[in-house]
Amino acid sequence: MLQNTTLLPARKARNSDDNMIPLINIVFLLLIFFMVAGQIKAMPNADLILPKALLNEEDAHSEMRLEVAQQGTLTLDGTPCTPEELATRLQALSDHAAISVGIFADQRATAASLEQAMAVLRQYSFQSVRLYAEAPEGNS
Amino acid sequence: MSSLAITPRRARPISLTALIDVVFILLMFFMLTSSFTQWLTMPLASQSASSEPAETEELPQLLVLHQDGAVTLAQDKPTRFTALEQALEQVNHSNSLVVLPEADIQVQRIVEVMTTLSALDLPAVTLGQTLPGDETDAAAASSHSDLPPE
Repeated sequence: MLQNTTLLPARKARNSDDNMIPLINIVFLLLIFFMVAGQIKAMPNADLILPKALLNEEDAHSEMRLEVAQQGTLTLDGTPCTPEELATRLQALSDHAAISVGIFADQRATAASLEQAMAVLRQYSFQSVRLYAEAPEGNS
Repeated sequence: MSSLAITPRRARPISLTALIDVVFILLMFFMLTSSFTQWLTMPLASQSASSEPAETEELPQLLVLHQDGAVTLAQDKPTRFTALEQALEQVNHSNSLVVLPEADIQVQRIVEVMTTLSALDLPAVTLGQTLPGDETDAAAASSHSDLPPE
């Protein structure tokens, strides 16, 4: 009786898309992983290697970003500048007390390079000046 | 009447090719833009710290970082130590401390030292001005009246 083909549902013709379903499953899983686990944030210059240290404070939002490269060159919000230009640009700001500054200094930069930036920043009463570091691998 | 009955519309299969195209583009976007590095911060200066009056008249201790790994701890008088660990034993835990690196000290070393000092639970650990290498000992030995601003 069962061999009577008229009683069995007609077998659906296999669609070529059926072969892609496992692929889509995996791609969806990868997509969800990167969406949930990753963070989208503006990265500093690729040549800049942040110092590695297990600091207490989490990354807080900084309105201004000052990068100090290994050679000591300064970059304020993506625009290279000299210490004099940095002072001019900071002077043009209106409300220093509401601005927090994040310093992204290369771990190989010297204290003299950092001092170039700090000497200018000390002239203004910013809300905070923070030095950024990267959590060592295995502690993130 | 039966001729007017609406026959159920057959569902048309949706092609998955368009879906996988979009999902691939989204996957590429998130793979290229996502970052897994965790950033941590260390305060170097803050408005509250600079505006609050000092609670005590006691002058802060100075810790000079030398290029050769030695440190000079200046309390009443400067004392040079060959390693930071030796200086940490002499640090006064009830007084704040200012780190003065030599000009050629790398940022990594400054961060390491300040991280170590922050674990000591001192009232404040701040980064002072960088001093030229040949003047650090003299600066540490000098009176606290010309202390660099914190």
